[in-house]
Amino acid sequence: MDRGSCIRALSRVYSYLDGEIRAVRKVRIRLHLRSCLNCERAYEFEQRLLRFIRDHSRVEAPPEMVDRIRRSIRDLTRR
Amino acid sequence: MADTANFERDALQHAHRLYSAALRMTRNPADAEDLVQETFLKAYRGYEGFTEGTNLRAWLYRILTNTFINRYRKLQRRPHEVELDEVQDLYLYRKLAPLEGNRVARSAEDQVFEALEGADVRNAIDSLPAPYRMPVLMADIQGFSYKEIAAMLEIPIGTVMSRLHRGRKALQRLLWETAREQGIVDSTGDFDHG
Repeated sequence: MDRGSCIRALSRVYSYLDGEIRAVRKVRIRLHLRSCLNCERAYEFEQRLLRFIRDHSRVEAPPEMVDRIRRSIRDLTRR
Repeated sequence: MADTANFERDALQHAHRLYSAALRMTRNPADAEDLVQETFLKAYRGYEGFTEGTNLRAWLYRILTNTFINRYRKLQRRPHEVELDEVQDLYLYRKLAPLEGNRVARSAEDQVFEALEGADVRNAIDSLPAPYRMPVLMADIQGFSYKEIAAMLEIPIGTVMSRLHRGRKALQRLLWETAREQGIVDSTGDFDHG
């Protein structure tokens, strides 16, 4: 695969995954990924990593938190 | 005043997600709950102004983030004081693919994801300095656009992009270091690249 198009594609991986890329570039990247397994794997990896980070950043809130919030909203309405 | 029952039904279901984001911002459970509490009170007062049919979760996230930023504005101020080391692009991926042009074997990739736990990810995020942590949180966890992040943090969009870029790379390096401590082997070692 032409190195220039690989370098271009890899430099735009985050703009692409963030949906912050112009349509014409997006199409060009899609075409490149279809024909370049190396870049396609790199894109898949970054996407998997982003999803992994998002999923693993979730934690459980303290169990009574929602009740406490509900109470403070009701206190507000009573005033 | 907003209809309390409607507000509670629609908004409070997002409390746990907001708490997750708040905890990564404040890095402290008591402050995080406090921030979520304040967010809901503000949201309740402003509920009339919320346009039904638009994204309620995004609206709540926006209130949460603005509340945090206003409360801890000083954290945003001195970004030049916390410089991150220069890290290679696609750091983690390249660690797994030793030679240029080499693809990462699925097995190598899977090993990294299996070695890392939720706490590792959260610790890595928490160790980013605030000027970098905020754009990462807002883009990767909360799903805001660059433009929205720029508006909330009151920084140019180019700055959002560069901080996000550097923050993500730093995060990748931290995750790699953690994975290596768990026994993952460097690409110069004995991965089977088949």
